[in-house]
Amino acid sequence: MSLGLGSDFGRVETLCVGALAFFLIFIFLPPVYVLTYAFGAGGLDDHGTRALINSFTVAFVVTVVDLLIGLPVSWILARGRGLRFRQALDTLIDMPLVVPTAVLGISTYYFWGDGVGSLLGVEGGLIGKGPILLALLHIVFTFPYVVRSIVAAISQLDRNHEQAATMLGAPPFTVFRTISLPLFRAGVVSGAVLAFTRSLSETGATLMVAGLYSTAPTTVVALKKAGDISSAAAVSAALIASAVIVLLAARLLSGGFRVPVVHVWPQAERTLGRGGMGVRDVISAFAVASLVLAPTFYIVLKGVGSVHQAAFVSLISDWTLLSSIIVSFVLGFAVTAINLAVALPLALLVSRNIFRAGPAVELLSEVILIVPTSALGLSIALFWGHLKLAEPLMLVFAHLSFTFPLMLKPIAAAFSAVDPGLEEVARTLGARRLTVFKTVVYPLIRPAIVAGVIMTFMRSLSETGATLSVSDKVKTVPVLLVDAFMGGKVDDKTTLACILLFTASFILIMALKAADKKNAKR
Amino acid sequence: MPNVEVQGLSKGFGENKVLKDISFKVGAGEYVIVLGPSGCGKTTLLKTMAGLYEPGAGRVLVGGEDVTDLQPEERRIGFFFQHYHLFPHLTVAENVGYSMRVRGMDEGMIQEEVEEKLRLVGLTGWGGHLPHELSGGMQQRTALARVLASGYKLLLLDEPLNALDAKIASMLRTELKSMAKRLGMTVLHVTPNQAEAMELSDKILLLNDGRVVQYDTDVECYLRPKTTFAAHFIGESNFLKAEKVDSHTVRCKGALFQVKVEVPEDRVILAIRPEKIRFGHHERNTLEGVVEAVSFLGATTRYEISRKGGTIVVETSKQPQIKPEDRISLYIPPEDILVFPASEPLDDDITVL
Repeated sequence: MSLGLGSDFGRVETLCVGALAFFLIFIFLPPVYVLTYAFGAGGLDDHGTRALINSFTVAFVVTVVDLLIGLPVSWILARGRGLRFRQALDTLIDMPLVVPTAVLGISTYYFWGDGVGSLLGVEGGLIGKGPILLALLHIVFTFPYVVRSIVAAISQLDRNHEQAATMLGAPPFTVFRTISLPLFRAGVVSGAVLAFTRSLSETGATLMVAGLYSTAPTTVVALKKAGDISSAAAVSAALIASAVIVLLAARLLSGGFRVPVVHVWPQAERTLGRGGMGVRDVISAFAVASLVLAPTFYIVLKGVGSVHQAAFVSLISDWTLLSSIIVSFVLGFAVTAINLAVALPLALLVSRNIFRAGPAVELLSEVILIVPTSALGLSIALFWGHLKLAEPLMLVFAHLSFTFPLMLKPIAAAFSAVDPGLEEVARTLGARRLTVFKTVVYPLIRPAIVAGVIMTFMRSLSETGATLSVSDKVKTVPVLLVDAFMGGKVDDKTTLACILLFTASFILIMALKAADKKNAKR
Repeated sequence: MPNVEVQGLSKGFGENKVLKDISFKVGAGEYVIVLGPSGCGKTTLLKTMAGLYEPGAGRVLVGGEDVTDLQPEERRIGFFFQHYHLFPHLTVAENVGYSMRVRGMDEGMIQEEVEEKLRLVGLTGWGGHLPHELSGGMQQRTALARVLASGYKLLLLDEPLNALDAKIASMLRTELKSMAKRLGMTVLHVTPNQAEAMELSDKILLLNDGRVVQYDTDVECYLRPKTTFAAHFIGESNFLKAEKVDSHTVRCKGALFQVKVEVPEDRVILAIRPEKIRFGHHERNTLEGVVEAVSFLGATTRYEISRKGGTIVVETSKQPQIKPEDRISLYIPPEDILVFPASEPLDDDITVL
């Protein structure tokens, strides 16, 4: 293949081989290994099956609700009036993406319990631990995935198609149903897949609010804790397999079939289009405010009023909490650095299809992205367990695996967007290969690198499922929060920790938006 | 077929005023070409008439009815988009039947009508294909069938032939007009192409910088352009500075010129079509120059005659024995000299000798 690499050809090739090997051994092999492990162990028992069904039920309900609210909200975000309002709403809706789910768990629990309870005068809270609260929690952190995908897809629409339909006599709702929706369907499907698999995989916050209701990821953690490794592996394997099936089904759904323009009801659709808009906007605004935004921000609003100065002192003097913060940050930095080093050559491999391995690596990375992290964590614990590696190292391996796709995806996309002609021009003007990368390619892909770094770091900082699956002694901040909550010790100090994590997330998301903006300008 | 009336239409995007007080009438069944350079507001005019843009001021009347406040889908105006915008997820037949379907027509009738329109544009048998499987010309025909199937009798065409290669475009050009006439449609057809305008139009609406420059038949526009811009944009002209001597005489480059029209101001600009200039010396109306280049164009030959300050272009179907560097005299008959006041603003593209 011609890469235009000249005399440096060998060096880039070697880098790619190394990255590929790293990807296969550290990221991809463990989950494959756990599949074989599970088959040997004799499959799922009743308890595991029930947990899996519970997980699917919750994920399904959550995805349906996400789509019902997400479609009109995305439309408003992409096409509504008032740019400032839309940008602000966009940032608010993205918050649950970066706030650790453990914080969201605590916040949601208190919102639907104390918050809404005292508002409506219900003693002891409105909704307690159990499947309903679980679904409400999952809506909070899956909703941004749906909105982000759909908004991106709507923004890509060529409005001329809609204008053409209008000029052919179609009223607004008919245009939406017959032209716009079919054209951005892929965005809806990919948002739904992300929301579904994210709900399927979440562990930490789920442990907090599920009560006696067990889901597949919490079962994996519980079985591992109880030492029943083969059952835990069986549930993990089932989770991995089902996530892959969901992904493949979605791929078929988004590309495979066509929706014909079936008979329409001109009169009804005409009415719907004009009068219905205001009602639609009000209902969806209320739904987003009560189901997503209020539960997300409740802990901050509640905490800012009630936390005393003493909490700062006890937070600073609490060695367990401080050390877990240090652990979380060191882990986050290490994982981000390693992933960046590996993702750069691999992204090049994917975008330029070096060794013709591009599509395969892309698909595998997509699979990793949707595999539940507790299953991923367990597979890493089992895969490397025989070597008796130290716990911190296992933790690094676990975090490397579930964050890797987050780093690879944006960088590979940015590489693909760089016009190869630019590199050719630079070469003909006398620049060496490395100079071309430094002066032409790198400035163009830098925003994507920033985005990948922030997302990787945030995900590592907030993850619980895989962390619980591989470590017993080393505690990260989210794990500590889960422990405190489960032990009934949510005091001012914990609330303060939540608010600090929340603030850090807010700063990072603003940085992410700034990087995004730079990306969009190009 | 409806007539159309546009009254005082204005449209701006922020500070940028694109249409400035445009008024004109189109008779029922007329084929009007909207001509002008890029950025002059042609497409904006069409989209504002269609209701896709909201006008800043003015009214649009179709068949005597004021449609200015109607939604675009209620105006019954067919719009042909420059890049077709065929719905990529629908087959050719579904694209063509779209308008009838969204307005709730009977399915049996839709099928029949789609067949008929596909036959009309020569795409029988292609109904089951998706747009991306068609060639550019076929996509253009599909878009045409789609807009025809809407049954609307007023058609706005936004550079319908622009995306096609020259040969196919010229073939479809004549087809387009004969089809519109046969189906009894009123058409406004936007193009930047002067040849297309001359070939198709019943009338030409010439726009520049958001204003109507001239609205006349092609012959009128060519023979009696109202401004230097019109003389420059429709056909080709040589422009020369001159001063008034008396009501029908001017002085230009030191020589006296008799003109047929009345000289409006002390300082004027003369416009002369290249094919109106003859070789030979007369007492008046004669310029001297040196032949710079000779290009044989087949039916005609083109000469570039250099003078101090610029070049004069002459085109003739005769082939006199003239070679580069010959010194020659050019005679311009009084009736072929157009005279414009020099006080009018001049387009940037125009070079005046």
